[in-house]
Amino acid sequence: MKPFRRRKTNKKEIQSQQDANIILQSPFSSNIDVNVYILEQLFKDIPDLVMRHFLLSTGSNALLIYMKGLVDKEQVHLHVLRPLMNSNTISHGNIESVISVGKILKLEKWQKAEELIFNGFSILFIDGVPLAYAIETKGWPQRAIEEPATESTIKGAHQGFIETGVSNVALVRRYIQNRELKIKEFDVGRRSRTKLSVLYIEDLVHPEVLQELEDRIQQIDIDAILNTGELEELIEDNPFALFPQSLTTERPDGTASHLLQGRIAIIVDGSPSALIAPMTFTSFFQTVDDYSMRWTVASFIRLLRFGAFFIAVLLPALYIASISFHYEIIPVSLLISVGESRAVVPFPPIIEALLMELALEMMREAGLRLPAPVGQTVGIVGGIVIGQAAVEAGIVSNIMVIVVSITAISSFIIPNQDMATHIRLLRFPFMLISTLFGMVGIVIGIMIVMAHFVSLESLGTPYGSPIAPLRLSDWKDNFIRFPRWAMVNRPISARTTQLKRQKSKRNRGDQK
Amino acid sequence: MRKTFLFLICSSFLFVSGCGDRMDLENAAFVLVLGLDLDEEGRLLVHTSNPVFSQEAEKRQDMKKTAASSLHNSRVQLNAQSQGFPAVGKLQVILISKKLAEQIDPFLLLEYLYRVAKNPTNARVVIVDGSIDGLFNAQEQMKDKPRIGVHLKDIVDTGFEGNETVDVRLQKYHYQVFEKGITPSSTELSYNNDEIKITGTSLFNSEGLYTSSLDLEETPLLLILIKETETKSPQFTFPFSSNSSDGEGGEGHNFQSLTFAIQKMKKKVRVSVQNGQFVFKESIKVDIDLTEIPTDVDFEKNKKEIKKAIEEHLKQKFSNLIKKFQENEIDPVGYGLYARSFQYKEWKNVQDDWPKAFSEAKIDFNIDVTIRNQGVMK
Repeated sequence: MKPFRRRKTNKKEIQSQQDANIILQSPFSSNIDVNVYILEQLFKDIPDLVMRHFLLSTGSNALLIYMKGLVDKEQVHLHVLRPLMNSNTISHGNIESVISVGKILKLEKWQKAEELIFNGFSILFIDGVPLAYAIETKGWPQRAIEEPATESTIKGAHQGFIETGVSNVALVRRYIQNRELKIKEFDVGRRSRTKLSVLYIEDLVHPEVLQELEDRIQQIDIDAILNTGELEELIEDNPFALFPQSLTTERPDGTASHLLQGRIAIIVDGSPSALIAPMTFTSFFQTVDDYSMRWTVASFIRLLRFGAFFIAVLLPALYIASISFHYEIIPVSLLISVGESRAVVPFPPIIEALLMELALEMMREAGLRLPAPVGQTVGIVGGIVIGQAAVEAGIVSNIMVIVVSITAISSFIIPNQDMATHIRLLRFPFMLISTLFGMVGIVIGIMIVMAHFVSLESLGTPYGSPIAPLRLSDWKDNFIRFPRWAMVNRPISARTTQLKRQKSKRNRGDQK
Repeated sequence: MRKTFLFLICSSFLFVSGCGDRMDLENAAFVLVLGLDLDEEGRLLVHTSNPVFSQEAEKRQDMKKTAASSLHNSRVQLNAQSQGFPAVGKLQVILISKKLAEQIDPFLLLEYLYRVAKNPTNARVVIVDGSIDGLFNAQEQMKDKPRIGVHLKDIVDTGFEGNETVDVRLQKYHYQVFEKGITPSSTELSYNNDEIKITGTSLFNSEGLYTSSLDLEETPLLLILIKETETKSPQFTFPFSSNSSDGEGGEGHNFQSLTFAIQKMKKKVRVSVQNGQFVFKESIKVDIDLTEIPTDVDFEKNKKEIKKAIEEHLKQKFSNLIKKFQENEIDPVGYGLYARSFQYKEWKNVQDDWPKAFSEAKIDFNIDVTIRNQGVMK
């Protein structure tokens, strides 16, 4: 093969990153022409950088630079350029009083200027002044605030996070209008400089937990973080865990609710979801809607979800074990109908089950990524595959179709998508172990999962709480949800420093 | 690298071991019914029936028989005939022909079922009046009935629900054989070409041999004595005519009968020994509902009379039943258990031959009837 044609490389003025670093560390020149030369070197081949030369009313040369698309054009034109060009009383001492923009910073070094340019600031250079003014003129394309597709509610709020960190923080602040809601900001990612906002309520959060999180964030040294999921993997306690250890949510009200329980939320700029830690296993089975419904209904639905959890993990395994090893536990009339439908199937139960489960998983994945019109086709084709046709062709038995369908429905009612996918994954090893060892295998599998479960931690707090370690006071908001007036204290699972949540003067229950 | 290698080797072990006792359901031949019989020459005949799942087969069930020296020996032979591996795990009914039960203690033949842990302990023990072969053939001809295993199970279960027979399964049968204070009993079936029906209860003596039967009218009395009627109310009917009735009907009113259902029952047994003879005082308190009264009898007027008649009737019935037991030297009620509890010293002397001592015992009945309800009709 012919090698790439040797080209004469363009002669670069800045040879290496080291050279650039030296320039970035240096202060601005008071000569505007020198600054322009440096700018041209630094921002070579970046055509969306706008450099606008103009004369101030005092007659001195000025230069405004900004990134096209990252700034609000109106603001730049009306509130920066126009007053600068028209004002008669301008001098470099009162620049701030001329520009009618909220935030203006005085810069001395190139490094900060570079960072702010990419952040949507406009930078103003004036000839003869060894400073630059960074004017906040952010304004980039944004999605409208709408209800998150994965976490819709019936009675809760219909706002979801968007891709702009600042707006997301504001959405949370709308729920907690309190001075104690503090934010720590971190820039992570050498290239992406992703802004992380760590939200917490200072007098609720346990300082050690917060410190642990900060340490982990500071240890990250990576080129870029593009979304919350990447951050989650970098800071989670156990990377080989079978369950997610921190929650990602797109709901501001849910985030606020977690913050009020003493947890910490991390909002990643550019990603429409917040990461919440420390979490417990059972919190993944709760939704914001649980608190907007009456407690009896909410409790019933929660029990349903926990039931669904066990069905989704164990049902195919139990079915395989009982028809391969323990047919004694099947009532005789059911046994006969199972036998009749199994008799036509040429495969052992595990192959049959894997066939169906994998077909289902493929269909789910296909339906997820495809545009809606094509997704419908998947639904129709899938309905034929996982349905009567497969049974009539003698590939799978009737009972297996029912087992797979119930399993699928059960895994879909788990409210959290992360947890639901982990549960779906967990049932495959259980199916395998039940084929090999029957019920004994399932029991051993459960023991292994339990041992793993109790050893998990989320930000150094026990993940299994309030089940293991047993914390009975937290069971008020666990498998069933007690009425709101009965939940006087915050859950201790999140190690909050302030337990008392309410002090109602109203009578409790049916007291008169 | 070494770790990965080790992990791979370990996980391959996962596949080579285990699954030794795995048997997929459709490959098994589920023996739902096991029949024990004797042929003309007195050899043991073992019958089995298992459902056939294949859609190609015309018959839904597979009935086999083999002559064998023991139940376990028969398994080997049946295995050779069978399409699948015979599995006794779902055994529903054990049929024993009366002919066999009169000559051999069936318990000795069932030894194998008790010894293997995977075998069920809740198969129903049933005595068949007739040959098992005949029963199997008759059942196979019945087009409107399910497979024999399900059919027999349903018959026996409804029979027990309807107070037609005792509920004796392998485990209870084992208990009755080994307990000195009680003699075994079991369900009894008979059949003809059109139907299979329960005829009552079979009773065994202390050697385990069949001795006599209780018919459908006697069985509820036994059930009352062993307190197994609690959820179902047994009904009794006897002819009744009042002395104070107007006499309009005159004679020939035999079909005018009185029926009552026992709703609630309390039973107490007192045991004493007089001159070496056991005396049992049974006091039975029953709440009854009258479900049928002769039309010419005025209930309000004859309340006391009716009550007395019922008490007398029950007492008579119970006494006859006990007489039958004593004549045959059997104790299916388990009076021996009371004797042991309350008169241990005396019991010790007779425990090895309790049925004999029971046959000489005296049993008094004291029945107290409360009429709770006489129906919605006035």
